[in-house]
Amino acid sequence: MDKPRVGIYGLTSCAGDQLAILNCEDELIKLASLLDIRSWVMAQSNNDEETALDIAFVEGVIGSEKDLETLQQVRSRAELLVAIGTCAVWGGVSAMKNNLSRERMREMVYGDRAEHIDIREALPVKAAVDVEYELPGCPIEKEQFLTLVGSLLHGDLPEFPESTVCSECKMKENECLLVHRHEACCGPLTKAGCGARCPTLNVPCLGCHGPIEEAHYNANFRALRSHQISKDDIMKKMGVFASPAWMPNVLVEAESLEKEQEYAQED
Amino acid sequence: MPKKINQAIDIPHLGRVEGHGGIHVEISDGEISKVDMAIYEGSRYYEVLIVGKHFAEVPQIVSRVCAICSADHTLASQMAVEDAMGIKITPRTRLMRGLLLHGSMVESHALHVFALALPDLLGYPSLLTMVDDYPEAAAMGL
Repeated sequence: MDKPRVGIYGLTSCAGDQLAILNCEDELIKLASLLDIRSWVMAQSNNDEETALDIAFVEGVIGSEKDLETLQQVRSRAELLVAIGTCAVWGGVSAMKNNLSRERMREMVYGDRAEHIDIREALPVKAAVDVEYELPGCPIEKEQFLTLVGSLLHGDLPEFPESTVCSECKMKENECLLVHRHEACCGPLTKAGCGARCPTLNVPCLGCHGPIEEAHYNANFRALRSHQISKDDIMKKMGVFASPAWMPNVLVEAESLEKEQEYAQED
Repeated sequence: MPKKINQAIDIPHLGRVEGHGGIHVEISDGEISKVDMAIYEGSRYYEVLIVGKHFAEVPQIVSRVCAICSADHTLASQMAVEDAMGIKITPRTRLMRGLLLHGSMVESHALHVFALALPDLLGYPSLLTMVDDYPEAAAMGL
């Protein structure tokens, strides 16, 4: 079988997911021998932007007109498009404040002499093109990336367990930061894969892998509130990495909880 | 008298750096007459993103400015928070941070030398294409 033709692209981002691929270190040479890497601007200079691709990995948000152009061009050439990293999958940190106008943000940072700076709202890849597979993480876990490539080489997509950071944390028998320290933690909502890296070091989960499917926003919101964590603090915590996915759910639940409490007082 | 040069230099998308940019330079009669620098990435507005956040979350957010030097961004924002709140750190914390900073420098420079700059010096398009001719050096670099 011919080696699959692969392109690795970075839109507006910190390049952390591409760095995670470079950090595959020992496995990278083998990886490169199994793939025909046609384009990877971060790591090579002989890039071919014409050929059809079997797989395109795309990191980052659509944050400029050039990003959108690049993404559409890559999509039109690629059989499979894989979004890598929480920016590409959910919008990540860049989409944290999409409720503020980009024009206002530009003015706050650069003043009134910045008309040349793009004010496109930061959006995940799926907002503009079809995506065949999504691997979240900030950055992605290299073991998951290697598993993904292994599956793709066999003509398949990987099945990662749909569990949470909270489960991984329990399996490590860590003391619960919410129950024992009353700290807001996104672990119960957040997709597993990191091995509960932060809570194991006593840092509450900030949700950098984004939410699992059918996350229990309402139950989690109530659990946090029952530890006297304010609505504001919960929203700050959940509004960092996957804000567009989480915020609407949290707001709805906050409102219904407030109403319930009002009714209870009336009774 | 040096020869008067007329030339245009066009680098549309600079490879093997973190970040996306290109540059166009025009030289007429030995003088640089035009320089256009293009940044293809969008702005991320971190200065606005951290407004209203809990102070403990700021270093975790700001560390995402750049993946290669994320440790340095984490430390810089921790120091800014401490400065704003008048927090003094212990000598032990200072030493630990120094260790992190040196580790970051070793990692960043190793990445730059082996994966980003070395292929240029030896005439290869990437570190991965050097594997056939320099298997040991490439493996050590990785």
